[in-house]
Amino acid sequence: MNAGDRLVVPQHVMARVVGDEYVILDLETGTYYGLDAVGARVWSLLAEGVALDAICDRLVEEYDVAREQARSDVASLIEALRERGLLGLR
Amino acid sequence: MTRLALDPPRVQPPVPSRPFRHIAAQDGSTWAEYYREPAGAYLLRFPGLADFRVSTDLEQVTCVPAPGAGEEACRNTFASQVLPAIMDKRGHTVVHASCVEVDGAAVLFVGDSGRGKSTLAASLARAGHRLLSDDGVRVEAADSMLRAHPREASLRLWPDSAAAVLPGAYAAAHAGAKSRIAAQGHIEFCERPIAVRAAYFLGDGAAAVPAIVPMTPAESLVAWMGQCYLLDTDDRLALASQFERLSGMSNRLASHRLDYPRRFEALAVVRTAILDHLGRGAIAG
Repeated sequence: MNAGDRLVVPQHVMARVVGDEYVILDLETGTYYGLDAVGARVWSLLAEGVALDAICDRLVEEYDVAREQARSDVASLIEALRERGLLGLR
Repeated sequence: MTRLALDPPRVQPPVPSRPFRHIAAQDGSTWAEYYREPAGAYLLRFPGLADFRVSTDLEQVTCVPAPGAGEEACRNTFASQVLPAIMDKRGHTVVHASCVEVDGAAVLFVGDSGRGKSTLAASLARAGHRLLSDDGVRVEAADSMLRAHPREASLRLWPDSAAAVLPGAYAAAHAGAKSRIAAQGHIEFCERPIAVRAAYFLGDGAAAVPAIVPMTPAESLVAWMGQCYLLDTDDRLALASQFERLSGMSNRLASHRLDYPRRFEALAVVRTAILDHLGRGAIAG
């Protein structure tokens, strides 16, 4: 993935906020995934089209986490989501 | 409203296509097979019991009983399996739950067959809490609340449950398979929709004493998805609609896991635990 890439939620993926978490449903396979509160925050920023750097900035602000850590956490979450077809490249 | 027409019994002919859904009975045999028919119609086959043909517009279901199958068994299967799936496709939520009224509000007991939903509801009904449904509850979002709709005024229990919970009614019913019991006169039914207060998902009975644990809304959403009816698992629009409705429900309704030992003599303690839990005000909304 390159810095300029934009991530999109594919049409067959539905995500809903329940409590302070997200539940994601893949309509093609009928499989569900849960995201905890931090994962949910990243997902909502991704879904708004916020760039990767800006997402890390927000996490550093909101969760008192080191920037490097935030960057690596966001990268692994995105990778996990992309592997499962829950995020695509525009 | 969907109408049921009963045709004369006929041997179930082979179906040329493959079923898109296969439901196994507890002993591993085929309990149901769902097929797509031309023009968006469906065939729901229950081997040895009946074929149900669902019309494209969902308005008409034609039931052809298998030779020797009783009309009551066909009607029960229509009410407990076929109709809830059609209701879901029409955008209504029907959950696999029993339901009683406690202090004017509905309490749901949710779980797979055999988890004790009907027995628990019958036990509470016997203790004076009116019954809305022993299995299958339509839950509807109305403004900021959820409403549970009553089902028919009857109760289906296995003979051992019936003998333990409703001895008087059981004496009048026929023994044998799980059968509908004329519970009128023994318990009271609530016959109008009422607001839902709480849902309890029934555990597997491993708990030594009644245990009630709150669920997060996300946990309850995934649990609800497994306890709803869906006519066609490949119908993405229906699945999306169900997910949307259930996520709203999970945000509004306090859900808990409830487990307790499955012994009839423990039911009084279980009832007290549930009523205490509801009465403690531990449940919002």
